Amino acid sequence: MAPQKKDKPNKDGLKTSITMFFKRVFGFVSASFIDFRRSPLTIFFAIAYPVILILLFGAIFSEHTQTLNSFTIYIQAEPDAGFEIAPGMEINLTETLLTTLATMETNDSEPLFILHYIPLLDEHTIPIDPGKYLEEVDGYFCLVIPANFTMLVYNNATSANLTVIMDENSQSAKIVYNIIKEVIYGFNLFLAGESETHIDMETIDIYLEEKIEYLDFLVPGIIGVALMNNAVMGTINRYSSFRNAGLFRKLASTPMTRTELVTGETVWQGFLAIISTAAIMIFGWLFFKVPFGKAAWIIEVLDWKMIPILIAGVLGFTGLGMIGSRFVKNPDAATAAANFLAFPMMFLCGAFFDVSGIAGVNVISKLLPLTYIIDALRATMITKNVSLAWYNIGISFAFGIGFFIIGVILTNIKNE
Amino acid sequence: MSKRRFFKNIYLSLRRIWAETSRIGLGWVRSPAAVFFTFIYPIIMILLFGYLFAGEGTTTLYSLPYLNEDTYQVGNATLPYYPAQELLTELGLNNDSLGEALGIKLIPVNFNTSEILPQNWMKEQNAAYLLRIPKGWSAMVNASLLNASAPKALVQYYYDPGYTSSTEVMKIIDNALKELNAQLFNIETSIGIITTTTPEREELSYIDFYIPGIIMVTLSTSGMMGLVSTVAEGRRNGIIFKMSATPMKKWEWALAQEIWQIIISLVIALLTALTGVIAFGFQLSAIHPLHVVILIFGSMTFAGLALIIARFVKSPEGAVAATLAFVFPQMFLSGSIIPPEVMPEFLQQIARIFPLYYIAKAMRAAMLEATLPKVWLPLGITIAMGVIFFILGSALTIWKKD
Amino acid sequence: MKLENEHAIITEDLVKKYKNVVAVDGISLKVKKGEVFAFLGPNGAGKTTTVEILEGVRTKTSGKAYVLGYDIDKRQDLEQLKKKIGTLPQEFNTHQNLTVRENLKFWSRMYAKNLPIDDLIALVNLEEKAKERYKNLSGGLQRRLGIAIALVNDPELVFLDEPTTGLDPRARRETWAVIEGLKQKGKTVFLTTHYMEEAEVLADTVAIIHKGKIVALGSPAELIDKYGSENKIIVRGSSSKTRDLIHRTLFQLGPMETAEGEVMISTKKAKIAEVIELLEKEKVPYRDIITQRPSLEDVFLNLTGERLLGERGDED
Repeated sequence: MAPQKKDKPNKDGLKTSITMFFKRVFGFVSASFIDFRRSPLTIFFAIAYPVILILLFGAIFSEHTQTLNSFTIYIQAEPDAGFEIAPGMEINLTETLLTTLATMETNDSEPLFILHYIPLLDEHTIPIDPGKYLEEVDGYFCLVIPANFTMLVYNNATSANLTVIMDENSQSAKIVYNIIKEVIYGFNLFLAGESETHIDMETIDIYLEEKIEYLDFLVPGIIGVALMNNAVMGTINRYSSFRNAGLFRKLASTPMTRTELVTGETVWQGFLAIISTAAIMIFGWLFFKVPFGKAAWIIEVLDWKMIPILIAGVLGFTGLGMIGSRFVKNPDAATAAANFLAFPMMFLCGAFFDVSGIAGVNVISKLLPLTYIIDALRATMITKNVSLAWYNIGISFAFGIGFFIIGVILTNIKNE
Repeated sequence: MSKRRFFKNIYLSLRRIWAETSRIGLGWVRSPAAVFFTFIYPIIMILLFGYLFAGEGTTTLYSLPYLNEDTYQVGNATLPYYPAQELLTELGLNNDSLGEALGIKLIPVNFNTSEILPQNWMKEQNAAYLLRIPKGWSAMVNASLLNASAPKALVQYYYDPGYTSSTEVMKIIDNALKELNAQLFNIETSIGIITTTTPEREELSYIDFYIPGIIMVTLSTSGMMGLVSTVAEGRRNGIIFKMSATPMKKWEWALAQEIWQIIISLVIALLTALTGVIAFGFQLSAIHPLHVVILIFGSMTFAGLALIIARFVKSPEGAVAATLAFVFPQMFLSGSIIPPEVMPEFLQQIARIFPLYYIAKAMRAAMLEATLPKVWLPLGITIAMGVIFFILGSALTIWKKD
Repeated sequence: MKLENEHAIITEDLVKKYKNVVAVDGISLKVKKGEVFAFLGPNGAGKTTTVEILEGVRTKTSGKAYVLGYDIDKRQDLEQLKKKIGTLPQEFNTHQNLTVRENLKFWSRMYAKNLPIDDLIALVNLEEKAKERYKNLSGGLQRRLGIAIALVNDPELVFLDEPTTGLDPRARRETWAVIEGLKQKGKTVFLTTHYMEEAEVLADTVAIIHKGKIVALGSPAELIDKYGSENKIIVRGSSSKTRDLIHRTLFQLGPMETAEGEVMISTKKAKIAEVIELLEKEKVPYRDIITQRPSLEDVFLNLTGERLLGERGDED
């Protein structure tokens, strides 16, 4: 029923048909824009959702907030009579250890440990089991210092043991355990008469100049996620509702061609990508950079190479959306299905944390186009690693163009 | 009202509720997509979060490239040590089981640092970390053995901070260096540390605590999304208003929805638990009967919340957006996926506004005898929320067109 | 508590206002028990709003309404009322994945009083489709199931909101037959429609509603008599020459209009027999003779100056 190729350009019509092409594409894009303002779901996925992600993960994992943490630990210490290492020089290791722990500080000069003491006996003078006590108070870490600990250390041929009771399921307990281990190592060195280690490690941040924080890692990840959500969900949803509303049939009966429809959709997704990217960067900057005196950040991360990355992402995910919309007919089911697919993708592609060490996941992530988009954005915006950026941009384009072509082929408006 | 009439009314009321609940069930069974998503969603969730956050069922193995520039020869007459080799051995070189226990896999690399800086080499290779044992390191170590005031022997660890795992790898190397230091310099361990786990948790592993939380996350997410869109859809196609022209009462209708949510919650919970058993060795014995109570009131809470959201957000797609905006932060802040204690204090306070926070707390408290006395407060809150949100949800349901 | 026995519905000055729009603007009407009452008006006239207020599904701004003697403002009355009415909403929908029988069973369970499901299926001729899922039925069959659902509780009063919109002519006629059956059984039927033919065929009383107001009320015959145009007899010739001949011949019968090739006589008195007699007598050649009586469409046009179906005509 569709009039096909009826405006194949003749010599004088060429100019007209180019004008018409832009006119129709513009018509489609401006209609999409009006539709956008009226569609809460599109606005949500383009702006609100990425902003929620950046605030949520930024707040959970940001260094600025993490260092504020103190740990509550429990101590059960038996009396220690001390030990006279030389006449008039008495040493009490229990006291020294507890003082050391009590004076350790976080980066914000807050006490690192809040010490709670478990009494030795209860009101019926029955010994208190520190493990049970710990569970009852819902603590995760308890250090038990044996009676006359100093004496034990100096007199025994074998080592004197401290006991740590910890909830192995607790992340904090693991952190505390590592710190205590470090402290004890220092004690051991001291007791061995060594002031410090002879072998050590020098750590070198290869992107030292860029001073990378968690947020720097997060922002490109969330831009990638937003690109994917907008384009995949948006395209599936719109195409299936177009089909429901018979809009495809209507478009097919106008001179609008498939190329124009697809171009219109892509241009529109490009706009959305810019809106989302701007929202993510502005919110991340306002909440996690400006308050820490890094207002210049937003300029520093901008790079022209973001444009090809966004284009590759828009092409690929719009294509993916067009492919998806061939298979999902009902718009509501489409949203559910797309959301359902997009959700694990965010985690598997390392948008929020690095998955390169997780066996299995690191293989899966290499198969997903989002990984390359995110890596390209990170290399471009944050680490400024030009060769790595182009490598990932290349792969992103390969994915992008591939999906796009398949998507266009599958979008057959005439048969809808 | 006569007694007979009273019982007749109760019967009619129950018949209406049952009609609605059973038709939702029948509709669900007949919609392959709905059944598929109901089943596949919890499985995906448990696998995803089990692998990613609980680190279960998979070993974390970071590939650590190392560059050994130290050409010190074994069998040097004066000093038999070859510390570089020993350091690598500490890190699991030629010893895969040690490497797996530590969580790293050593990969030898070779390039000339006078031609390319390690930093640049890493950027080119897209390597996350690099351990470099510099030329003459072993000699320096050995010098320290002879002379205590000799300068420190340093290895170099290059890392890309873009990889969050770089600090973990650094810790592993640091530990190995400490061990080596103690060994080489005969530092006696005067003070040792014995670690024991808290008594009642010995039997249970991390995943056993983790799975009940994930079950609640899944339930709240899929339950709320499902119910909110069902209500929005029912309003769009008019069936809800057609119902309101029958003797069915608003609360009966809301109760029917809740009952279905509870039924499907039990199914999802069972399915998630079984997936946990198969994939991660979750112990079903960790389940306490109180968990079922928490589950029921928990799903009542979320169903009630869903009805409240559906009251204010009219269009089906707006409803999806509003629900996601609620469930997503709740998922991560309520302490089920990320342990609350690693979060900054202010987030731990924010977490308290989410019902899932209390429900997850009750779930955890019910798992151990020692913490069981603590279950009553969060359990009480859970039950209260279930009842209050249910009443609010049904009261706020729009039963008449405006 | 019943107020009156003669009328199924009484409304007094019913008003429904939205922010900027008055959807129902002071409607007062009485519907007798056992009659088919048709609410005729174009889309957006306020028909559905009125029906939904009477069903207790929509809130009203002001006015009173008594349905089956129950005051819809009183909660207790409304609860009693809902047991005794049946409704077919506009753009009716029911559970997609349930079969015809299951849907009927579902809606039956809402009520204490039930009609046997087989009887309902037979009433709307859906015996062969009883096991078919709702979503697989054609539009016409879906609507017929909707009517059956409106009857599950053997209601005294049935509201049918645009029961035939979107149906093909055949399905429409079948639906009319079902509605006529309801009337035979003594049910009161409150019908809304924008098809004048439907109102003419089915209704005992028609209320023409325009912009939220009732502009005319009465039986179809009364309305046509009062507001309709005159009968017309149209005689067509084969050319303008014969047209003039016809015109001259019939001149004595009354005022006439001529159009291309035809002559239109608007008269209440002229009988078609007379016309034929005259034409035969004078041996005037003609192609055909058509009589056109005024319809509710004309009534509506005369009352509002607008066409009932709008410019697009019948969209279905």
